[in-house]
Amino acid sequence: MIQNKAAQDDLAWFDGLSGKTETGQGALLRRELCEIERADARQEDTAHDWQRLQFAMRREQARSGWHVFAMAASALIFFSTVYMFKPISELPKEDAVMRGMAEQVMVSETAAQDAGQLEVELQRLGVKVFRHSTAEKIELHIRLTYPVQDKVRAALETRIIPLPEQGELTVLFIQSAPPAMPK
Amino acid sequence: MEQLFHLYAARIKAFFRHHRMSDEEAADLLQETFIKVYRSAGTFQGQSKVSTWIWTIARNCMLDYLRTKKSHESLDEILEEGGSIDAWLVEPVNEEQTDMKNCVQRGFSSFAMAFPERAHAMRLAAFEGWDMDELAGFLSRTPAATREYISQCRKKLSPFLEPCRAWLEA
Repeated sequence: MIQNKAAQDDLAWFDGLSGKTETGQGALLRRELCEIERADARQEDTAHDWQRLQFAMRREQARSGWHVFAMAASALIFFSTVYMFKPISELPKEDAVMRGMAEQVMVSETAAQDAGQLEVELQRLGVKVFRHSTAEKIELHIRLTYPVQDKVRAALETRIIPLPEQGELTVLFIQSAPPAMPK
Repeated sequence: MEQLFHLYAARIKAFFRHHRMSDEEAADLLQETFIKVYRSAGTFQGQSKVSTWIWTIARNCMLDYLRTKKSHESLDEILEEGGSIDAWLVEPVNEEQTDMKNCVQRGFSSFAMAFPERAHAMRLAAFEGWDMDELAGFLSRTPAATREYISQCRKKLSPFLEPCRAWLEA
């Protein structure tokens, strides 16, 4: 009985820590840990690392041949399409077809606002949307019914979110990180 | 790839540094992580979150590196654990540190020095909003073992937050 209570306390604490609940010591700790995580990230300068990685990727590409590169690149776009909202004219245009559970990542300076707008718009169209907010992300789990209504399809297409062929769609709205602090 | 890099690279590099890696080691491990992300993108099934996938690759890169560097030690010894925590325990707060934020951050920093692996698992659960199964995937543990791990994290953290008890219970 006592063990059970301790296990429940641990789970409740973890729920707070992971953002599932907003109260208790776990939730309080979560707010501080997120601040520490952000502060640590700001200390790191990765500009040189990115240049080095680009060089390494070009070398990989040359070694493996273009088809492996194309496969890897399209798979990344397929499963984790990361778009900046602006400028739209520069966004890649591809017709990704996704099956099963699909996850889209949207990075923006106004993540909360963008998530809220999509949530309201889809709910107005009768689509079930479940929201789960974490430190810097808002997840919208969108339960689509098929065939997908034209208006729902348009709401997603406007935001350049590829429609899965079947199954659920999860869209992650991520607040774009502040630039790294110069050392 | 660029967006993924900018989203995760700084935090992953900080993660390596917290595991006592030098600047050079952290930069090399970051490269290796993203090269592996790039190479394995074609096999990523989308069954887990992108964050869990990338962080697991980062952690495995570090463990592989540590295994070759300290081949005579067990994984637990390599990662942390054991030893007296007294050396890391914070001094009682003084009047100038009488706010909860300071107290908790200070306590957690000391905890992170004593238990870097546990501290980072907690940070990731908090920041990425991972549930128990996602954390289990990252730690390569069963869900039951992860529940025990979390329970231990909570217990081990407790003495470090003792000076903040008054605020935490308010």
